[in-house]
Amino acid sequence: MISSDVIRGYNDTMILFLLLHGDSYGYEISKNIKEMTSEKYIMKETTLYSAFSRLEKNGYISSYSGDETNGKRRTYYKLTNEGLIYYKEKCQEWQITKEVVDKFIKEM
Amino acid sequence: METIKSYLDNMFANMPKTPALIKLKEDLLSSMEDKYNEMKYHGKSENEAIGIVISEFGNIDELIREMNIEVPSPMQPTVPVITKEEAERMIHDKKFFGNLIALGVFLCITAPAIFVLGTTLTGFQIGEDRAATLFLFPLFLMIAIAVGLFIFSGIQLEQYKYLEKPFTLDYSLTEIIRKKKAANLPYFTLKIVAGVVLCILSPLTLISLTVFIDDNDFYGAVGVFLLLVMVATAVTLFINAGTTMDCYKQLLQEGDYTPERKEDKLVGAVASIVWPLTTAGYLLWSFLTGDWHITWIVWPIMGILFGAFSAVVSIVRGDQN
Repeated sequence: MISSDVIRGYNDTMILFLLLHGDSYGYEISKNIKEMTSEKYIMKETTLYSAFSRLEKNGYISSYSGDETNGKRRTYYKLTNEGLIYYKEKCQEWQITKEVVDKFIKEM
Repeated sequence: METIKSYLDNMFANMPKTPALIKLKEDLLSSMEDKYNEMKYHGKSENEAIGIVISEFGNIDELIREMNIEVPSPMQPTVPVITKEEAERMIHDKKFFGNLIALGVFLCITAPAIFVLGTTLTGFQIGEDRAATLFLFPLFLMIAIAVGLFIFSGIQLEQYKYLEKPFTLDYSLTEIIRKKKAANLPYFTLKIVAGVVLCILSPLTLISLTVFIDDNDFYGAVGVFLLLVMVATAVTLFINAGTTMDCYKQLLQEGDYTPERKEDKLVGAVASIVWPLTTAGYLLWSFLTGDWHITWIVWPIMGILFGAFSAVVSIVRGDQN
């Protein structure tokens, strides 16, 4: 398990990445993150929904109510154009971050 | 699943009920339910599944910060959380002191029963006035003990006054209490039914003794004695059933609660006024007129009226379930 402090700045990036492939809802996104990272990173429920709230406030995603399945309506999230631009920025930022931090990482 | 729901309820207990937060809570619940169902589907046990879902919930403060929710600060009094130990102590005390009140009412009703029976039995030998004077002592003693019990129980139950204000139950406690309440329901119903049957049958013992056997003072007194003991038993059952059911309902904060609490004290309060007054009225009437052979009629009439009153209180309370 990764400490949530380290990864905090990139929770948004992960969510935006998953929304690149199409609209999705809370549980599906958290399940995909868990599976893609082979359970090395499990995003907490509160982290996920804080991110949704923040991303939506900034206009990077929008939400809508899905069709009823098994008697409940899920909230779906959709990537916006601003979100796509923001995602690209975050990808560039990570490249630089990685380069910088890598300078100080030594195989021991 | 209930556990997850009550966990979330607990987490959101202190938050304002804005549409955005209600929506957020629904989304979280749906997400947690999905996770729970999938875990169960993959063969995890109920406890494991709930454990994982709750451990992966995270920290509610994160959401509070992100959403700029105005939560009452720790400086302001927040809603108290009732723990399992507190709830168990409260249930125990409410039942115990409720039973003391019931015992007090029982004493109040049986005191005149003993008085009437005693004076009639000894009245043949030592005369009615002397018998009455002699049996005043146990009569007053029993009523004094009863009033003492009412006051003592009332003071002891004061400590649970804070439950009249809003509170939240410790996580998973709601379910435990709900189960206890459901388990208690058959006993509650049984006690009320038994009490009502006793109330209905009670005048019959007096009538059958005096009408079918012999209409003299002796059978009259025995009849009154049995009638009052039956009414006393019935009222005791009503109070016992009522207080037990009430403490579950109070903990679950079910229905509109304050009126119920008032009823809780109602029977005891009315009893502590009605019975001393009845005693005073009875003695005044008896000593002024000397008609000891008829004045006892006060007791069965008051007994039945009081029994009917308690029954109405219990049934009204039962209906709100």
